[in-house]
Formats: sequence, C-alpha cells, structure tokens
Amino acid sequence: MLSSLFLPLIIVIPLLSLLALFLLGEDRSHDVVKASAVLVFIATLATVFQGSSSFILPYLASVGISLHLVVNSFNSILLIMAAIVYLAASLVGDYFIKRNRKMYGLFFLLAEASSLGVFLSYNLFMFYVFWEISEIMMFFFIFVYGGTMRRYAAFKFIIYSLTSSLLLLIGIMLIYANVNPHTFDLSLLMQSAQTIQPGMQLGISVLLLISFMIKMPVFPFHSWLPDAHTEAPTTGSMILAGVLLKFGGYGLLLLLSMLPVARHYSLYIMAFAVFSTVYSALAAIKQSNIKRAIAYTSITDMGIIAVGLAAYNALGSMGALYGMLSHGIAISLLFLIAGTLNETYNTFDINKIKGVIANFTDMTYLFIIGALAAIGIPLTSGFIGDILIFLGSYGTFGLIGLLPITGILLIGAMMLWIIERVFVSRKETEPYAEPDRSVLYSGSMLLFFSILFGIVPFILLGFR
Amino acid sequence: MIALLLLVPLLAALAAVLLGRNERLHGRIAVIGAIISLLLLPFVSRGNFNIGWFSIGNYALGIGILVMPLNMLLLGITLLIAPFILAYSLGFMDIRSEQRRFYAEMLMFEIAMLLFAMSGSFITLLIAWEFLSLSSYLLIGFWHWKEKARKAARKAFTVVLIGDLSMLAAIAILWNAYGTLSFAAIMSSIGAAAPILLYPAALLLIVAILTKSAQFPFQNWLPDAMEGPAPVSAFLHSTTMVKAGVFSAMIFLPLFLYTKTTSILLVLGAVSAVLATMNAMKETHIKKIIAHSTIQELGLMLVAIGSGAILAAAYFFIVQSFYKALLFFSAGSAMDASGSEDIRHAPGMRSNTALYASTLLAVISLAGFIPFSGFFFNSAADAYFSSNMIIYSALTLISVMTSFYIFRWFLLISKRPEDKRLEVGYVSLPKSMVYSGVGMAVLTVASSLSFFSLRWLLPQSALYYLGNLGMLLHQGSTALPGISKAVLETILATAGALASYTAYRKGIRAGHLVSKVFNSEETFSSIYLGMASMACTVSEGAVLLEIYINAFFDSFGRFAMASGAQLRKAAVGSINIYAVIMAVCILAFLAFGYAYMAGLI
Repeated sequence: MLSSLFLPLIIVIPLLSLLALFLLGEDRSHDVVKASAVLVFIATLATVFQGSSSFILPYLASVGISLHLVVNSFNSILLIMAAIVYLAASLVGDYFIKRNRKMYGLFFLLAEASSLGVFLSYNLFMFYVFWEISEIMMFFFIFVYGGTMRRYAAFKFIIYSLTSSLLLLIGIMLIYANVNPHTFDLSLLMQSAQTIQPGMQLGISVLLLISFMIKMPVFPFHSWLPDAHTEAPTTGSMILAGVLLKFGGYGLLLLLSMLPVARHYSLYIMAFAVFSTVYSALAAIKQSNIKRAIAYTSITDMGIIAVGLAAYNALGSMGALYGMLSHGIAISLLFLIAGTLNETYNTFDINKIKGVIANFTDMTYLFIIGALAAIGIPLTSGFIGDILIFLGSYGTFGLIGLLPITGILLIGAMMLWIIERVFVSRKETEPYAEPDRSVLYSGSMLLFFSILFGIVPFILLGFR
Repeated sequence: MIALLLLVPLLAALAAVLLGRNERLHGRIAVIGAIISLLLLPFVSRGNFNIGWFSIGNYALGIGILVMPLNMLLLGITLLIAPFILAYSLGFMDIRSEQRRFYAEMLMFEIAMLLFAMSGSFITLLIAWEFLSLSSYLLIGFWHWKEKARKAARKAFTVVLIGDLSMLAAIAILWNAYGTLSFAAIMSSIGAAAPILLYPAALLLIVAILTKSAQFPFQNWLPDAMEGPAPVSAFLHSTTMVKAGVFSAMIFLPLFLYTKTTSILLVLGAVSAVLATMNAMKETHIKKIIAHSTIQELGLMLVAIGSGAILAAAYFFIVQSFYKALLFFSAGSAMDASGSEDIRHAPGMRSNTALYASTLLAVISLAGFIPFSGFFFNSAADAYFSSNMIIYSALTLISVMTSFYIFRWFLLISKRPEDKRLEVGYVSLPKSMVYSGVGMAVLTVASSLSFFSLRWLLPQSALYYLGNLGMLLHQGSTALPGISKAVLETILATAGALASYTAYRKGIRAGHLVSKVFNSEETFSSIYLGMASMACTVSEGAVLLEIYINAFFDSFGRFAMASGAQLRKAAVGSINIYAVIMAVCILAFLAFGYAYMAGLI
C-alpha cells in the first residue's frame, strides 16, 4: 500500500518543486532542480524496488481518461534510467546553464515530470499528454539555451516531433474508437485491442510505427537528431538522448504487445532498424563535430534496440529495455564530456582539440569508459543489453538478426579513432578554462551506474 | 578458492593504484600479489561450477567456471610466468613514469587471462575475451605520447574487436541451437543441432580465434603491437592474449570437428606460419622478429589442432610460453641497453654473461635442438604428419628457417660491438631484468621436460566433453622419438644455425633477398589501411547523403513556407478580391447542389 503512495510522488515532486522555484530566486533555481532530481531519484528507487504497483486517479472517467500509473518489470528499468539521467543532468546545471536559470528550472522540472509520466502512465491519453509536454520542453531547451544554429534546430525538432506526436494521437484515437468498450486504459487494451479488425490494426500499426520511428529515430526519419543534438545545450542533449529517445522504444514495445498484427510485420521494422544501424554508424565516422558524431552513434544504438524490440521474445524485449538503460547512461556521459570540451576548449571540432589527457585526465578516462560502455564492453551494462538483444534477435530473425553487430564494430572503430585524435594525442591545444568539479561528480555517477548494472544485472532483471 | 585466484591480483592492483607515491612500491605490490595468487593454485578444487548471474523468465544466464586439467594447465602457466614478468618490469619500467597505471593494467591483463583460463561457459569466455582486448589496448598504447604506439593500440583493438563481435554473434547462434552456453553441455551434446545451423557459428568462432591469435588474414596487428613496453610484449606473447585464441580452438574442437571446419584452421594456420617465417627472416626490428616468430608458432599450433594432434599442440602451447617470454626479456634488455630498436645497432650482449646464457638457451629451445622444447614439438608434429607429405615438408622447411632467423637475431645482438658504450649498457642493466630472465631460463628447461609428463599433465579427461568425437583425435605419439628422428631434427636445426652463422659472418644479408621477393607485412598493412580508408570514403558518402536527406525533408518546410507566402498575397485586405472569391465559391456550391439534385453525381 505504501508503494502506491510513492508512485504519484515521482510526478508530483517535480511539480511541487515548481512552487519552490517560483518562491526562491533566480540564484537558487539550480539548487531546487538538484533537490528535486535527488528526491525523484529516491522516490523512483523506492517504488521500483517495492515491486509492481499501480495508482489510479479518475480524471474524465466517462471517456476513460484517468491518471493510471503502473510500475511493472518493463517500465521500472526505464524509470530508473530516466531518474539517473535527470539527476546527472541536474548536477551539471550550474556549469552549463548560466542565464535564464529560473526558466531553465521550469523547463527541466516539467520535462522531468512528463518524461517519467510517459514511462509510468498506463492510460494512452495521459501517455500522449506527457509525451507532448516533454517534447515542448525539449523544444524550449534547444530554442532558448542552444548554440548558434538553435532556431533552425529547434524548429526542425519541433516539426518532426509534432508530426510524430500527431501520428501517435491519431493512432491512439483509432484504437479508442475501435475497441469495445471504448477505453484508453492499457491494462484493458492489452486484451481488447487484439479484437480490432486486422485491417484497422495494420493501419494503426503503420501510424504508430512511423511515429515511433521518428522518435527513436530510425532511418530515414532521423535527420532532426544530429542537428538537435549539435545545437542543444549539454544538459538538453543528455536528456534528449538519455530519456526522450526512449519514448519511441517504449512505445514500440507497447505497440507490439498490444496489436498482434504489428508483430507479423516485425521483419520490416527489423529491416529498417538494421539499415539505420549500419548507415548511421557509417555516417558517424567522418563527422568532425564530436557532438554530432556521438549523436549518430546514438542512432546506431537505438537501431540495435529496435532490432531487439522487433524480435519480440522475452530475451529480445528485455535486452532492448536493458539496452535503453545502458544507452541512456552511456550516451549522457559522452554528451557530458563533449559539452565540457566545448566549455574548456571553446570548440566541438575533433581536429582542433588535441591532447586532452595532458590537461584533464579525469575527462579522458570518463570518455574512454563511456565509449566502451556505448559499444558494450563486459562489466558495463551495455554488454548485458547487447548480448540479450542478439540472443533474442537471432532467435526470431536468424542470421539477419546479427547484422547490426557490424554497426557496433563501426562505432567502436570510430570511438577509438576519436579517443586517439582528441584525448590521448600529443598536447597541441591549450584549454581556455578548467572544467567544473560537478562534471566529474555527474560523470562518475553515470559511470558508477553503468558498471553497477553491468556487474549486478540481477537487481533489475530476475535471478534464478 | 577459485575466486581468490582472481581476487588477489585485483586487490593488488587496487593497492598499487591507491597506495603511496613511492614509485617502487607499486611494482613490488604487484609482484607480491602475483606470487600469492600462484601459491593459491594448488588449493583450487576441480569441477564445473555455475554461478547464477541473472535470468529472464525461464532463461537463466550464469557465469560458468570450469576447472579441468586443460584449464589448470593454462592457469598454471599464466600464474607461473606473471611474477617473472612483473619482476622484470621492476627494472624495465623504473626509469619511466606512471608506474601505478602500468601495474594496474598488467594485473588487469593477468586477471582477464585467468578468467579466460577458467571459463566454463561462453558468457564467461566472452567477458574474459573482451577484457583481454581492452587491457591489451591499454597496454600497447601505454606510451600514448608516441604516435606509433597510439596507432598500434587502435589497430590492435579494432582488429580484435572484429573477433570479439564475431564471438558475440556465434554465441547468439549457439544459444539458440542448444539453449545453454555451458561448454560442457554444448560440447558433450554437440550432435543435438544440425550442422547447417552451426556452420556459421563455427566460422564466426574461427574468425574470433584468428583475430585473437593474430593469424592470417588478421595477423598484422601483432607486429605493430611491439610499440608497447617489452614486459607487455612478453606477457602478450607468452600466456595472455594471443594464446587465448589457440586455447579456445582446443576447447571448441568438438564443434569444429562436427561442422568439418578443422581444415580451415589447418590451412590458415599453415599459411600464417609460412608468411610469418618469411617476415621474420627479413625483419630488422628486435622485437618484431620475435613477434613474427610467435605468429608462426601459433600457426603451427593451429595446424596441429586442425589435424587433431591435440597433444602436440598442448605441449607446444606449454613450452612456447616460457621461451617466448624469455626471448622478449632479452629483446627488451637489448633495446634498453642499446637504446635502439634495430637489430643491427644493438650488439654487445655477450658482455653480460647471465643475459647471454639465458638468451642462448631460449634461442636453442626455439630452434629445436635436442633436448629442448622446439625439438620435441617438431618430432611430435612430424609423427602426425609423416603421412601428409605437403605439411611434412612445409614443417621441415619452417623448422630450418626458424633456426636460421633466430640465430641471425642472436648472432647480431651478441656480436662484439665497435662502440664500447654498448657493452657498458649491457653490463649495467638492472638486476631484476637479468635475473628474472635467468629464472625464466630455468623454467624453460623445466618445461622442456614436460614432454615426458604430458600424459600425467593432460590425462584423457582433459577434454572430457569430447565424448565420442574424442575417438577421431590422434591420441598417441607422445612416445620418445627414435634416434634417427632426433639426429634428423638436430641436423636440420644445426643446418639453419650454420647457414645463419656463415651468412652473417660473411655479411650476406639474406633478409634483403627475402624482402625483395616478398613483402607481406606491407601488403597486409596496406590492406588494413585500405579497409579503414574505404570505411572513411563510404562514411563521406553517407555524410553527403545525409545532406540530401536533410534537404529533402527541409523541402517540405520550404514548400509550406513558399505556399504560405503565395497564399498570403491573396489576403491583401482588398474587399473586391474577397467579394470575387466569395462569389466564385457560392456559385461552385450552387452548381454542386444542382448537380447532386439532378442525379448527375
């Protein structure tokens, strides 16, 4: 019973912190954000480790809209991921965001509440509402705090995202209209959605699939992502790559478990994902902007996750969820270090930064281990995710399911090349500034979780 | 107890990192840690353990630990050699900085190999396997301020990553074929899955083995890896890393026999051995000669495994570790004493008697003089291949050439130098370097004797999971070679040595002759570079394509903007235009209504 009290707290804490944000001044806003992120993290851990639980607050009960929050073995992994990424991003807020701090706090807290809400809510309507709010917050992150091309990137992001969420909305409405009795509640839909006519199921699947492919993103709907990441502020990139991309993956999982017809076409999902994986890894190699290169590896990793989801068996789905967790942590770490390089060297250009190890040994180690975590070296959580995904995808697709491994090879080679050129090379460029200690704390925390979930995966997965 | 074996070096590594600023302390802690974990080895109990790790629904994945005679053998070799290598590093690394990083990484390397040696399931194997790659990457690039070292480390990791990921793919196949990842379970019921399903898995595992053991066509990273410090090379070539590939070839043998892929191992091993021998004859870098020699030896081991001569392979596996570590000690000492990497510029080893004697011992062990290591392997291998004339003659030729190049190496560095300072360099080498070499020489002699106790070391149960397939293996041939064989082998080795002696006494540069007709190292290096640049070209293409895709999706936005701009012209606020538009619309509506009423639509 206690757990169902904790459950809404995850969303309520950031919203209550908004009050504190408005009462306290501009100077304290980062502290409010940090405190809120810590509390959310604790509440999430408490909820997740108390096991499955649910909470219902009827809202517009007559049309089936209610705030139905559920924690189960699937979304608990994503909840922990989101809590960790938001905590890490809040820690470095002081360092990366120096103007409009109060507004930043507003965006951050709303984004946090809504993205946790996406993973928590078991009512498709609220799912959509939370999804939409977090997208708009991300638009503001990019638009207000972004780099020189922020206008272009922000509008591109919001146009793609709105397309994605409109398709999602249409899909959800179609589901609502076609099930009997009409409902948005996932716990009912898991059974009743199977009775929708196959033709309509196919239509809904296509709509939702395109929506999720834009969000994940999967080729050819990915071109918003490199721009958005390049222009977003560092904390925005961490949240975007670490949390928001996972909406697509989670949605895909829900779609596949809801509509049986979608499962018949999983081969097509897999084909897109495989191509996306290899293609984006190739596109990453020759990028000269370190943040852009990392953004492309993010597409690669999400492609691998999509393959695991498309496999739709126990190992593949769980591997994909675990892969999302490890990708969220590793990619946030990489973006954090890339952002720190920009703060200290004033550039993202791979060819203009040389010999970071001579100045910032900690940053170098964090980046190297983060890069290794991104390619799934054992004892980081990526290893568990990768191995489960491929065990599952071979089971469903056979040898074709193993093709994304070439993508891992390519991003591995690319990461090593970046490490060689930027980090361990002979020192030629002097930094303009020292990094803040908070980067080290935040990065070490991400690293700790990456290794923790790599060594003791049974705390999130089962143990037998 | 088995966990302690790993835990002790881990604690030593932590202690080395955390303790003090005294540069000498780190190394000593590492040596003590390695020795303690060696002393623990006799107390390790045998068996097949499975430690649960995590589970998904009904599927449980666990860390399998297998301690069988074959594993004990590898554990023993690794644990025995590690303290010597660390002790050698005490002298070798003393003048250079970053001691704590070095010893922590070396111990990590050792831990990875120990975990590999005791792995009883593919999960454990893959963890150890990737950790070997990672630690070798860190160690090869230890002197990261040298551009060559950086590049060599990246090359090594990139090439080995191919193998790591092939292993991952193979694991996915095997899991789906057998529903388990334990070696014992898979290898004992190998017939439970159809060969056609397993064939890709076998090929992928062979790729993994070839990358790890630096065999054709992936051999190129190993000579480059010589940019790392000498103790790293000694470790990498004797027990850790490259041996992992050959060892797993022994473990997976039932799978290879079942899918009939052993001949691939045999052919590729033979090709690597021949290429490496040629390269060793023309090379002038002190360490690279020995590196090529390692590739050759690993190739021979794969030949032996591929033809089922598992005992000969196991024997060679043991003895090669000791004399190869010793040769790298000597090479490192020579480079340290002379300050040169070129074999022609590092003479004078004879002035340090202990070093000279131990090096000579390693050289004659490698060359195959009776009664040292190489001899026994040659005779054991000959016994298997006496029926196959091609392999037999290739092996014979290789053994003569081996003797030739290693004596060339030895004669050149032990020549009396014109510059007396070189002799001083050799005499004043740190004691820890020289005496760990002497200790290793004792082990080399002892290991040669393991030939007589191989049946005791490796009983039938060593590969107990081979089951019926074990019948296919040639079990015999550890009997003593006959007199004629012994004489023949020694004559061959002596012939090589004499040829080398005459050639280098008279100043004939046989190496140049070889390099004129044969340049495989450059060829393969350029293949690697070609692949890399191809990836870059494709990547540039992808970057360009990205721009087009971007433009394509942007064009929707442009279209919307442009049509908006055009439509805006309609809304100029002129009442006349609005009235006309309204009139047209009303007329159209009326026309539609009329047509509908009249049944025209």
